[in-house]
Amino acid sequence: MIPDFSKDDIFVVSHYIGKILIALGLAQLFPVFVGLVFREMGAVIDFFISILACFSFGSILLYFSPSPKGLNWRQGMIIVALSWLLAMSFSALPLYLSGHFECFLDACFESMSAYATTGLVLIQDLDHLSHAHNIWRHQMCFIGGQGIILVALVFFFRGGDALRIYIGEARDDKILPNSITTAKFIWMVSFTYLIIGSLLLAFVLILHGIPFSRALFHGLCIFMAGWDTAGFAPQSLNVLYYHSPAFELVTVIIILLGATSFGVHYSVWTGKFRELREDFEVKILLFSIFFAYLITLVGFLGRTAMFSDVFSFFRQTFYQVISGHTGVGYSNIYVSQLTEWPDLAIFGVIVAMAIGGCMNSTAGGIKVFRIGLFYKALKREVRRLAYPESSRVKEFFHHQREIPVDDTMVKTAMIITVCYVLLYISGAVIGTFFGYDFLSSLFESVSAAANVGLSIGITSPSMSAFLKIWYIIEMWAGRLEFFAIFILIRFFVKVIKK
Amino acid sequence: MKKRLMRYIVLLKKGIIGISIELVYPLIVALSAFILCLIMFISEISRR
Amino acid sequence: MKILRLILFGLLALWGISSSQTVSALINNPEMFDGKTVVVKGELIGDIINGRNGFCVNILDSGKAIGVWFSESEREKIEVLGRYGVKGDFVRIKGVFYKNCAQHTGDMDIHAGFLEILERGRKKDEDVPVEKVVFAFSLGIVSLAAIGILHLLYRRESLPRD
Repeated sequence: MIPDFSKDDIFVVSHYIGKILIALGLAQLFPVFVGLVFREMGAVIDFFISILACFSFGSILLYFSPSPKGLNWRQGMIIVALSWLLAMSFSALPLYLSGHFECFLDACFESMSAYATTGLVLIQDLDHLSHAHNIWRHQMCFIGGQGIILVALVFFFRGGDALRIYIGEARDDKILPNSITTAKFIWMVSFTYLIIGSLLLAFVLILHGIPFSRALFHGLCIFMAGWDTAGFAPQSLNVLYYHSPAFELVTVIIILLGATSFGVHYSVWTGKFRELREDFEVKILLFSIFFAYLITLVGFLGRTAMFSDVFSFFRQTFYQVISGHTGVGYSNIYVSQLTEWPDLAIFGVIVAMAIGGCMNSTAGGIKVFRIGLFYKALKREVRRLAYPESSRVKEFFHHQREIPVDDTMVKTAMIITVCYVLLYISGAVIGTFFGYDFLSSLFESVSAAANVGLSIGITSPSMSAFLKIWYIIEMWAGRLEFFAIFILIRFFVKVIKK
Repeated sequence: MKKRLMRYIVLLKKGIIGISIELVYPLIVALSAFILCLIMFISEISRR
Repeated sequence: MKILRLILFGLLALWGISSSQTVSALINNPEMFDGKTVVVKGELIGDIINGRNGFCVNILDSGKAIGVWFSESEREKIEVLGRYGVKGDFVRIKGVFYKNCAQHTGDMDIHAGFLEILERGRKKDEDVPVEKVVFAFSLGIVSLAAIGILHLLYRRESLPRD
């Protein structure tokens, strides 16, 4: 008989989770540093409490579970799914202590939204939040976008174990032969762009007359949330706060780079520039951006009188589409303006959001790779039927090299796609149940599950707790791409049965 | 540490063209989307 | 008759100045106020953002904010902007509301012609609750103890192997 869940699993899982919690505590040292720089003692105390909670809980877990020998697939998956939940609640602690949330659930919603790089917010009076808490909100996006475990990966795991965890976090593209070197490369790209991007954003703000330290703070925050396609902003007005088309253009650069897969970044950085033009995913991404934008434009036919000129029309429509498609959720219009959009245009944004960015990037959603694979598989089937029975039909796609489309690949991709669609619809149905109209519910649900973060007004501190919990589940499941969560559920079912 | 930093700088030097290409490509995307938008806007106005 | 009309007009104007709109009313019914003169009260927050002929500051009123453009001459009047631990200047502004401002690429904003400081902003004293500090310290002691025990145990475990 194949061995199923055993007691060993619990020990292994709690050991690694203990380590991850300690890493989480270490990560909170940066906001403490920011708090000290800006002399925000109240904020520093909040983080002090939270760091201690992480350390003590982590060390207790480590104490009860001695260092294990190895790690298998299902343990890796359980660790990922559980550690995301724990990271959510522990990271919500300093946010809740800040007093800007109505209840702890709201703070949990915010931290899951940050980790899953969604960008839906429930925070109140954001404009008076401390710099330390604000940096922590954006740092969570940065950590979650690369993968919580990916952070711990570099420090704590051995080669073989690392791969199992890596895949659990929906990162199955091996850029380099070893997953630790891959993780390091991902961090290197992210940090290089962190410097370039934040300076670029800060530069634009300085041109607008904002003092250097404030500009750098805003640049850093916007970069961390933009690159990781989260869509948080340090002010309640989001990107609208800056009132600057130039600033928005720079964010477009950052979010498109964030939604491009790290595999492509690797190729381009190592001199294979053609990859940017030939890569199958990038091609599909660009095609689907234009496709979704076209739907939106057609939706506005006969309604362009709403806008004063072509620039403002372009600025508002394209920004929502690209922000939705890459899964960022930055918005340069008010919710009331978005609700005024014609239904077809809203549908165009929903399509963009549902498709999402590249695989192995920081974007969410079904991912263009799976859409492309579906197209290739369909093409192959049609060709197979058209040709004589004895002929063998093969279909290739270009990703670093020519890769043949095989059935297992298509099967996995289709399972995940169907799961996503079901998740989208479930949220829409639940939203409708709570009295919102279907299109708005669908919009908000897709926005949560595809980790986008555009809001049509449903997400607010006053919405029902059940809906908040459901959105948290959607964000969590959407970010980890289901399998880790199914295994976790199976694990709990088995434990209860025993 | 120093060795690692050196290796990083070497890679950065090699990647500098790559980075600049990557910074330009979103601009091209935005520009072509703008052209699409312009065509649609002009056709709207001429019909009105 | 003429005098009556004048008085009526004057009263209307007075009413127009004294009554003010909330920011959320403007945001939620932009059609109603588009191109009209509005009066808004609120707290100035964040930063001063320079732009073409003027500068912009966001004004916050019961959780909703909107950008307001001022002409250069108003710059000296603004002293304190709301942030963490700082309550910004509480002001009343009068200006024209635009749903899609042609001057600023389609932003929804107000072009203020008049700015009055109702209450000067100030720094709030940061109050750290005592319970929080006590809790932090007790948690600190507990976690130090936990880590200490862990450390001892790990050492005991690894000793025989060496």
